[in-house]
Amino acid sequence: MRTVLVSVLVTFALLCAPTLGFAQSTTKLESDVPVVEASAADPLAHLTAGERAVYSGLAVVPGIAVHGAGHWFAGDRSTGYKLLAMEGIGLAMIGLGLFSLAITGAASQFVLPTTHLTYTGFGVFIGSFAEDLYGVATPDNGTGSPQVQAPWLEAALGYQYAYNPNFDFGSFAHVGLDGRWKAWRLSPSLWLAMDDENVRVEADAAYRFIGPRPDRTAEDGSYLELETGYAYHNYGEEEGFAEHSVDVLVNTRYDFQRLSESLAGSFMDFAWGIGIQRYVREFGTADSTTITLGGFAWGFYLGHGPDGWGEFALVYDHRHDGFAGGFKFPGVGSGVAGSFGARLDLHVWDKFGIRATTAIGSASVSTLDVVYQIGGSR
Amino acid sequence: MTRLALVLAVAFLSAGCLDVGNDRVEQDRLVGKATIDDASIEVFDGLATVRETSERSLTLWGNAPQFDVFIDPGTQTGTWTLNLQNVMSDVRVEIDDQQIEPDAQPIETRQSYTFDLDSPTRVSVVAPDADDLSSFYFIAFADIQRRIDEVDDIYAQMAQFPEARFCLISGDLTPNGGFDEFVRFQKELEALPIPCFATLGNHDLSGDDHYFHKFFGRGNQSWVFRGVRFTFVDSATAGVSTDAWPWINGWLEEGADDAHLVMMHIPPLDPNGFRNGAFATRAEANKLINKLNEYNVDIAIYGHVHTFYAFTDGDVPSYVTGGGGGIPQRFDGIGRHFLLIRGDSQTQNFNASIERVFPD
Repeated sequence: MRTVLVSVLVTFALLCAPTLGFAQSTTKLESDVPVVEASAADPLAHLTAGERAVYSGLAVVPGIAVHGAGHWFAGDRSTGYKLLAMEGIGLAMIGLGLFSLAITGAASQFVLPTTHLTYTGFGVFIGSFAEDLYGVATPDNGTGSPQVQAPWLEAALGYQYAYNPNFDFGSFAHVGLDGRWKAWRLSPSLWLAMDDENVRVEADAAYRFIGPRPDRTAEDGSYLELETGYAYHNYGEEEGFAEHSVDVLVNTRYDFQRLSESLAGSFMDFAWGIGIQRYVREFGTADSTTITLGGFAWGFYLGHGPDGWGEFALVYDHRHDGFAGGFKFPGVGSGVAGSFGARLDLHVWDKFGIRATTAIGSASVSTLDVVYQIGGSR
Repeated sequence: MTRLALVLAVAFLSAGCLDVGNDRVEQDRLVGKATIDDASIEVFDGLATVRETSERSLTLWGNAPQFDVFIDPGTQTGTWTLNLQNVMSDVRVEIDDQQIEPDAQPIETRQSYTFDLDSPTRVSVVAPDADDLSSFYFIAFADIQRRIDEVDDIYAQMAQFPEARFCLISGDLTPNGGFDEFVRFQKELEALPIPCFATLGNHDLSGDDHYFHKFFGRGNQSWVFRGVRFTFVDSATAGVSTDAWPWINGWLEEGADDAHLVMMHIPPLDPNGFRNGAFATRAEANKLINKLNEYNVDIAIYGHVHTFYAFTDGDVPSYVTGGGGGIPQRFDGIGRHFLLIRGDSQTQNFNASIERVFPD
């Protein structure tokens, strides 16, 4: 238990410093400022489609190695340098994380903060590359705008297909709800197998310190929230076990318009957390253990209409439980990585939209939901 | 909608990439089989690897205390030579229950025999104490990796326990699974006076070359010695391969009423869950642990995490013994080590003691 406490404290010491700085810089942004309709300040607004294609190519080569190259060649050197610095920070975090893991031999006392540090570094590194490409490829004002006022209710109903070669389940019915009141969010979800006995129930509660809320308009989609949740996953009588999990996470989003107008409409999510799990099996005594939670996503908003919503994101989730589990990389890093996936939220008509997600870990998991949203605006 | 279609297409296509490790199960099936022109050789249950063949001659590397080999000489009737490597010094070779005399005095883990073969014949490599149900000792360790230069320290200390019948290594014999690395591991093993039976770890994967299987044998296998069932599971890609489950279920069922040791490299669950030096998914971990408990497994031996843990998976006494030389976990005061285990088939008890190796 002492090891757990030390790990948690070290993690928060490492992670809260930038987070608190972020909080201070954005608190003053909580206001009734309307959505920015146009980005006159976008230094790349003058680019033609052909020029964007050329600079997109440069964002890949040499941009794959020198992040920000696309912006630099396009004339927005300030953003180029910022993205290059971001790449450097990401690489430094990866290096420090891996070095720490190596010199400590993944010691119990340090493995939690170093794991968080390492995947966060990968997120920052990947994000700086993606932002460069996004900024030079997309038109003025970006692909879309965030909802600066959060919906107070969001209901999702749909279908999930999960393929894990070691289990019989496949088709699931999914229902989820996000209810928001002021800074609070309550999110129950249910996955019920239609061809097996598998069932998963989650209930998350979150408090949003910064960012869009139903009762308050934010300047952009950036947010900071603390989430806690409980999950119960029963694999049925044939498999003979069930998992209980209690989680605590810090969830953040950073809209890159804050970094540069040319990056308007793009964002990154980061999450850091821990969980305590208990496994109840048909045979043998129940066990308890811990789990590292968190991940990152890079994405962009879709559409600018005031009543709509939409975003697409590429996602890394470090958790090793749930349907996807971790990715089975062969070799030295076997078992360490989480799952990789994508998420699409799209307003379709009136208050209806769709949400499609996919994740590849030890299983391939795809979900398609119809979403009904009340409240919320760009 | 184009994006949605793309997302779903990628998801469904990738489903075909999830059966990780089944290629190694295919390699398991090939272990112990060879042909010499029209002669054929098959080691039952793949418990030994066919290392070399030439006309009327074969060399086998044992990966179990005893095993049977079926030799169909085809047209190559006459005098055959059988070379055995990595076997206990006191094994004997029998044909039709008739003991064959070795060509020379056995040199620790190596023996050589010549005999006449005129027809398809079952040749048995038999441990003299195989049916003795009294307790016995063996050694377990893992994770030598790049510290192969100093593994002789460990072997020298192991040699101080002459009562140990054999050694088990639960993976990561090499740093990166290269051909030369396996050659080096085998060379260093000559310093050990007892055979070393192995399963593979994540560092031993060689892509499509499958050197581990060619050198040392199957990743998944099961055998019985002195009333104790030993089952090796290939968990080198942080899980159990889909095609290996029928074998594992069968071995667990066969060993349900006996003393049963299960050994694999990556443990289903890491005693430190934050690290997850374990299966990639906890669902598969719990599926396996539930099976180990259902079939009354008496001890589980793991590697991968470079320290020592004694814990339980459900009710199964479990040990992580990753002290073969890989970068050690700091601040735990463990370092290099191995386990000396006394197994007793009648009480179905296993007593493990940690033997530390200095310098760590």
